Amino acid sequence: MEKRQSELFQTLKSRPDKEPDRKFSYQLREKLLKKQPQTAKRFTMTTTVTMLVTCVVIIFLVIVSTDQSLKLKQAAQVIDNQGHIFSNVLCIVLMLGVILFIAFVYHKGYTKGKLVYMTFSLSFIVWVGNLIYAEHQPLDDPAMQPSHSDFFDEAHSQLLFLYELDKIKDASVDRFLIGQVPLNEVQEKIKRREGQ
Amino acid sequence: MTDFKNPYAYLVTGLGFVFLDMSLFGLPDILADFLGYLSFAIGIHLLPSSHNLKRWSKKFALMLMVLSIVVELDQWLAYKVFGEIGIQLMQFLFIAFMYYVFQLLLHIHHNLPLEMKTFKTYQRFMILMLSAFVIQAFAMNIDRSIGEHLHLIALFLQLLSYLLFTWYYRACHKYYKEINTNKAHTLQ
Repeated sequence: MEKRQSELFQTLKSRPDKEPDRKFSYQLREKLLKKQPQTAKRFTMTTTVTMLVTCVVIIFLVIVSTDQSLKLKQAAQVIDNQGHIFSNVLCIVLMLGVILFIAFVYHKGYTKGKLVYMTFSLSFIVWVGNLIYAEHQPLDDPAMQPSHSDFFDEAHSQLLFLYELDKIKDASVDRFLIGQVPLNEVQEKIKRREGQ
Repeated sequence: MTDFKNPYAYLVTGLGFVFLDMSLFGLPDILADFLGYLSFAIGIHLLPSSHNLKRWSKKFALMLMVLSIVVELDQWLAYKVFGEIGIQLMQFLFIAFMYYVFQLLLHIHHNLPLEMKTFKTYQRFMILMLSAFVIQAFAMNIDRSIGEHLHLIALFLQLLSYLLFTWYYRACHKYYKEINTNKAHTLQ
């Protein structure tokens, strides 16, 4: 009986926009609709993915703002030249996998739901992951790093210059105070002035 | 004659402003992104719907407008505080925004051929834009020689999606004109 009912319901579901045909009486239709168990999960897929994405974003923001390292460098040092090729291949395979997943979801025609949400969250995670990886890669030119900022670079160089200038001034003052300037030099200067 | 009440014209103009970057003679981008988002907001406002999606997407467009002003000012003044991250984040937000715009367009079109066209454009547009975004994300960590090619592919995909939307606009414009002429006939 239950099997029969589920079959009828499947037929009904496949034509939700049409009026019930002769097979269905109105009462049966109502009964079937009511009988469907309402599954209320406490943790849905959407909630889990949302929490994951939020965590990733928070971690990323903390890393960027506090300039902390994730100790990924040690792992990166293990990768030699062959490992570099391997990482390239891995990147391409992962990229193709994500693209295929996106193409599958939209080709199927989903307009909302978990899968559509997953395409967005996956793309975002991929982007954040790549940013973190690129940030911790040993690059010759730091300007190639994604978070490289000309503004901070310039400000940093100016601060460094001021710091160096202060150090030179301090050193010269110290020289006079401690008495490192030879006495001969001072006497010669006094003589020159008197001669003028 | 230009019809200032055609919402689709505003949408395609907005997309043009966001997509195209015209920096001539060392001047900043003439087709500024925030103008594009403003155009999007006007277009969405003119769409005939009272659905929540309309309110949401309009707010989203205005939010993106403010964000793009910040990012573009950063570029124009050459501070580059955000670096490449700001631009790429804006790109991601733009894709999410376009998703809402398509949802709204799918909701308001009762004309079957146009609804079909909207749906097909939605499918292709989302595939192209999200793929381009993913490719650009991975291009950061792949060898420079391959990475440059990947960047080119991503740009090509983005251009295709722009052309796709322009093509879709033609169908919408035709539909809009038909509705308007029918209205004029009934008034006569």
